[in-house]
Amino acid sequence: MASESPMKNRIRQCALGGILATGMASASVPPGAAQFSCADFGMQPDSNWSFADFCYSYELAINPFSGDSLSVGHAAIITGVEFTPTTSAIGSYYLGIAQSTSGGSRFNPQIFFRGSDQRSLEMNGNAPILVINRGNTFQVFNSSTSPGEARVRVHGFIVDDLTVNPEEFLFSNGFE
Amino acid sequence: MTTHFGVTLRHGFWPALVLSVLILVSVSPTHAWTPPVPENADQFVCYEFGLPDDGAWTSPDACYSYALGIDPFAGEIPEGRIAYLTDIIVTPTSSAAGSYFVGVRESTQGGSGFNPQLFFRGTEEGSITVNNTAPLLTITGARMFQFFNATSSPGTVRFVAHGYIVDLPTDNHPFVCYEFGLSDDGSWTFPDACFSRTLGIDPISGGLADDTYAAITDVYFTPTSDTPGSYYTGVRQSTVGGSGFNPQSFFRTTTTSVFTHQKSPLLIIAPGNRSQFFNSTSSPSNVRAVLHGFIVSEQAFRGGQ
Repeated sequence: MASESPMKNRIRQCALGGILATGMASASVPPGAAQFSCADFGMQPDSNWSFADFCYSYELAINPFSGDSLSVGHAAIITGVEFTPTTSAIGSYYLGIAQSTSGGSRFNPQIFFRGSDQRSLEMNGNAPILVINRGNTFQVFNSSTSPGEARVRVHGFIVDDLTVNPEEFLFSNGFE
Repeated sequence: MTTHFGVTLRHGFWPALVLSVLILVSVSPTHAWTPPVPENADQFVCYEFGLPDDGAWTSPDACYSYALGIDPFAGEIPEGRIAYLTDIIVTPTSSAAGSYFVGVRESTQGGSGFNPQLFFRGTEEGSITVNNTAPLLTITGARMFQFFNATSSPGTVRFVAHGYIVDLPTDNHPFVCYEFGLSDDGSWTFPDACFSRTLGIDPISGGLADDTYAAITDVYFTPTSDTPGSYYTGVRQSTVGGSGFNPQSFFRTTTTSVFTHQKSPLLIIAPGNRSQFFNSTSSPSNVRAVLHGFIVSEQAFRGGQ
């Protein structure tokens, strides 16, 4: 049987932990995870995908999505997203989030949320909502059909792969 | 002689590059703060078959721990252990529609209540569910808790509360901050009170101690009246003098409570700082505000638990 990559194993542990710990004041994330959060102060309803205004990890004191600030073998998992209309304009807000390259090319799945009035929308996953690979980032979206601007907060963890073998890394990247 | 990541090269480039990658991996995060798994957690459930809308604080009809085979609140919770109440489901017993205003609080077994009293508001006849990451209530000794259904609610409700009996924590101390009635004046306001039962102090109002962080995992706002409209509320980290930091988190609701429950902290409060709540001038009335989280040592926050 082919062995599963450590990163996949970590993500599976995360999902399993969430199922086992449902409703409990406990972890649904690996013990080696480090928190981060991001914010967009106001997304215009223009159907343009845009990068978050702000991302930071207090634990690591870095922006995990700035270039290659994450070291080899690490990825970011997004576990919670909150959208909040900045005004009381009522209607059908259509909002989204997706992994992207730093250049703005997006990956599936693009995840969309729809609200029926003006209330905040929140999504919490036991398993990660999105996995962002090292070197990539994410983008957020507010449809032109939405009745107004929206703020977004994104919360998650940096997860690590402790079994990275530097020699394997070098050889797999063409070094001899 | 060349240096690479501070390493003197004496034996060629490749060994140094391998060592550099090892250094990069070794400084990567391997152990940092995540919501704690309580030691030896034993589940319990409590329920109320039907609480009339009479405004009286009432003890649950029954409590039971299948894990322990006892009612954990029938006597004293054993020394060295504590009850974490984490989840509540409130369901109207009829389809009577309106603004249900319900609550839960810690009490003595004789019925004397303690702050914070936690209130939640729903609309129409839908259930209200609260699933906290940090404990809603922490209960020790001979204390227990009570439910509440306001006279302004349109009918009777059922309650179910879930939680765990856990060993007293040595780190990751749950704490709560609350505001009894936050005016819709658009100003950022310090909580009325904060407390950690397991620490036995208010750990944050004077600014967090030098060697501690606060990981805020749960925040909710509940309109104090059923005045309809669009409530716009927020929470942020601030200095003890009141200067705020980004990101400020905002929430919008109608006359229902608005909840956020995160596993990755909603906010981190750094040493020396505290928190503030906000209620916009555009909101139609006052709100109650509550935040829950954990006080974490610098070592646990950055270096493993």
